[in-house]
Amino acid sequence: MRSFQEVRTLRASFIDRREVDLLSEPLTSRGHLYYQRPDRLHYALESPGRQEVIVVGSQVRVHEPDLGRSQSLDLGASVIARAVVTSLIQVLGGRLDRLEAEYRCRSLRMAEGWEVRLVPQGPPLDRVVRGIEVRIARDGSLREVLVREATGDSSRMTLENVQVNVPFSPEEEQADFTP
Amino acid sequence: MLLGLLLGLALWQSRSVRLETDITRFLPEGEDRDRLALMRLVRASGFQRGLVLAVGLPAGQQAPDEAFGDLVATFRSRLVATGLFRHVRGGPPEGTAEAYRGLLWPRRFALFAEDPESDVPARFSPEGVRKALDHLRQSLASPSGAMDRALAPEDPLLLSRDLLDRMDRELSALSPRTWQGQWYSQDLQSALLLAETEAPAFDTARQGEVLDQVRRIFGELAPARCPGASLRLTGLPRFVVESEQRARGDITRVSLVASLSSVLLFLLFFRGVRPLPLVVLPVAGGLALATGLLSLIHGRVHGLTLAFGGVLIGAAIDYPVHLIHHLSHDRAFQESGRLPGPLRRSLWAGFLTSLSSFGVLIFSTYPGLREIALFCATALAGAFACTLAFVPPILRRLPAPRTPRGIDLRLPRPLAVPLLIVVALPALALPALRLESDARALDDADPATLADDAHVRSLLPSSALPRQVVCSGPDAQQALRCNDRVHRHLANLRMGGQGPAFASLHALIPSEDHQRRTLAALAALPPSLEDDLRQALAAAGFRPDRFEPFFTALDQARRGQVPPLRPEDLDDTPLAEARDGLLLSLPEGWAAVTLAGPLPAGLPDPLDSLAEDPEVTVLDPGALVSRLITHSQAQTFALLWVGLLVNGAWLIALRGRRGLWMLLPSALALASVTGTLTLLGHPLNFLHGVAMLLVLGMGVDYGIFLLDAATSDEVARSSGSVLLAAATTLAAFGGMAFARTGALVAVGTTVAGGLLLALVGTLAVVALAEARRPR
Repeated sequence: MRSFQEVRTLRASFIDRREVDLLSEPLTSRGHLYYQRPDRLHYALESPGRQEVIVVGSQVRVHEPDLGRSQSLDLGASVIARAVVTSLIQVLGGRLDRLEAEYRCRSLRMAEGWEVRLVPQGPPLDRVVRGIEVRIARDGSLREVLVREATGDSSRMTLENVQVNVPFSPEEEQADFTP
Repeated sequence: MLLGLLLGLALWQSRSVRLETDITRFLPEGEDRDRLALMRLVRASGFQRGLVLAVGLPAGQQAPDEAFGDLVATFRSRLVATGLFRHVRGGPPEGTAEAYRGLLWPRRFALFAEDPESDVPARFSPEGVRKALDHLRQSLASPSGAMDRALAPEDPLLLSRDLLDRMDRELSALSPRTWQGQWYSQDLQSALLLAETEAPAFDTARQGEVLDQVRRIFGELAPARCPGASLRLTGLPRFVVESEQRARGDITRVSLVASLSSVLLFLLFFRGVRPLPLVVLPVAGGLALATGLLSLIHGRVHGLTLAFGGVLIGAAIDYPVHLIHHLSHDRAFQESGRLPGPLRRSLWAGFLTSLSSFGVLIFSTYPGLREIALFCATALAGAFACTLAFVPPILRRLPAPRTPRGIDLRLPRPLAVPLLIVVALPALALPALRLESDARALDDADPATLADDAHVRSLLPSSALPRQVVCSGPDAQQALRCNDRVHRHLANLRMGGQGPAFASLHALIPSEDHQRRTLAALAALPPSLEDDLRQALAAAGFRPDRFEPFFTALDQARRGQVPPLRPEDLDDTPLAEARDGLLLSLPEGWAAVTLAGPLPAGLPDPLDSLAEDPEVTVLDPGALVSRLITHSQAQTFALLWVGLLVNGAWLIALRGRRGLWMLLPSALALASVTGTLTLLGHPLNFLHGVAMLLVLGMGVDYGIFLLDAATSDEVARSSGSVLLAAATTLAAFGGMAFARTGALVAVGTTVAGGLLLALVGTLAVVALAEARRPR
């Protein structure tokens, strides 16, 4: 667990399986994740469509190359969006100390590692999230994040090829974290 | 008796006169004036009202941090606490999302289409539906699709997203970038606050207090909370306060210099101030008559008119001074009380030429200049009448003032021609004369204030959209229908990659007609639409039963059960600001305004074709103001030529060929002062033109008074009166040349320089014309 909580950078590919009440079958998407402590995240969706979400602090840029559209957002304008994105960043960074302010946290020792269960303590998070389950390998690397939404939908993001604490070069920083 | 009664009435009427400062009275009547007045009404965003405060990050800091955010928030709350502001806003109004949800969302089926007849069939075609559902699936797979997920059961085709995207694209230019709930410049280097004061902009005393408080509070907070942060501000109150301080200082200085120098000159010439009331009485009488007349006609008088009226004192004192010099020691007059005929004729000639010089302004198309002409002509006539009515009888009853009798300004003849050449020499520069075309040159604001204004304005997004496309109509809906057409044109240009950026109200409120057409196009879709949509949803992997709210809303829309969105529906909502910025209620109807980007250099204007629509007017503020400025200059200088011709005609009619000699010095002086200004690199503006009319009006008097003198003694007396009149006028106008107000400097330098040259030229002409007369 200690190594999970000492994540400074993270690179991984992911498979995200979303169960959406509106759809008859789950949606599966693939892409890459880049994280840099304390508050930088690059979420690059590569299939079924391409989309990039870059978060730096409270600034968010959503780029949809297939639609030729790019949009900058300010998380400060939405309490809920800010809380959700902040939660995700803190999960990737292993910041359980920060998550405890918003969630009731319970850590379980499993055969293949650890599972941390987070339940929102109250508004605004409980309006959109029922709970988050984070699975961590024995070596402390993040393996899976399951988010159960208030709508009944859920998203299971499985991480592969995880590289932890490999510094980003200045060029990578420029390319991956410029909002 | 009659004149006294008239003066009494004028004074009584003047009590109720109101001082006016609306500068648009100095714009020409006609289409351009109406356009500029309309432009001034456009309030595309709240940032065009009140004070805009830009708090800059400390040098070297890349982005706002907590300390900076704290400084801005505290600064704002401290400003609010002063009670001097109606509001101080630092971010978008709260409740925008709720207003959208309450007003626009229920009408999404009526609002989503840009072109109802083509967009509606396209969006509901099998291909259109498939693309929309693919888009929805993709959105649901992404982390940013939370909003689409929430709206999808009622809007799987994401029609509302089209509407939101259009609003974001076309109205975002009206608001600055928002970051952590605070307005910022695009580069995040400056936080922006909009402060609207309780006091009116022209209440300079209270606005001065506002500016002091803003600077004091920031000065207290910044060093403690975020050292290095800077404050730059702009807005009408700052310009008004600084302009008033500058004008007040100028008027005090100029008045003091003029009064002191007049008293000194009177002491020098008359060795006492006893004749002073004899000069003051006609001038005061003339000004009272003029003020009374304007008060009677308009109920108000413009500040600039009063300023030029003050300048007129220089012309009005010529008559009493001339009379005092000639009559004080005229025994025949002392015995009979009758004005000598030649003296009366000289005064009348001087009066008529001065009157015609100012009078030509009555033909100006500028109401403000016509008002100046009326005021000056009345004041001059009043002063002349008072001079004739009051000065001679009083002079007879008073002991004669100690007038210097021996001033003889006649020059040796050999000096005359070289002197005239020297006077005329600068006129050689006339071919290089330039008229001012830059409106900013007439703006005499402090350079630091102008720099702050340019900087802060550049931080506002609307600065990128300087042109206005105005749709007029007798009612709001007709203006909005026209606005729909303009939007269509600009959107087509944008699709073709050649149109300017624009901000249009169409994205928020299309006309009712446009909304009804959209609903009619929906109703015209095949009856099988719902079944087709259910099949398409199932084919795309969706569960059609989850979309019942969508089918219910679609059915209502197709049956026309969606009330159109009207401008008044936005009352008391945060969306009202965008509406009020671009939809104007005017006395003669309504105007819907689209803001557009600048004309691309070297390319044909893509907005040209809009001008063919009779309800559309394209306004380019920079070009319009320059056109007005250039027009005003050209017209004023044309009137100057008319003044010269009229004076020439008068003088020839009254004095024959000698009249031309009387006119020559003033004509040379005008050419010379114009040449001198050109040599100094000053483009001429309309204030120079008006000042030159003053030179003409006063300068011709010198020629008349000196050339009418028949004997050596009369020449000496006329020399004395001309010298005193010129000296007092030069003292007053020379003082104005050192003012901080640009308008006063232009008038002061032109009049002082012109009159000096006219005086020297007159003396040279007198030397030439009077060479044969015995001394």
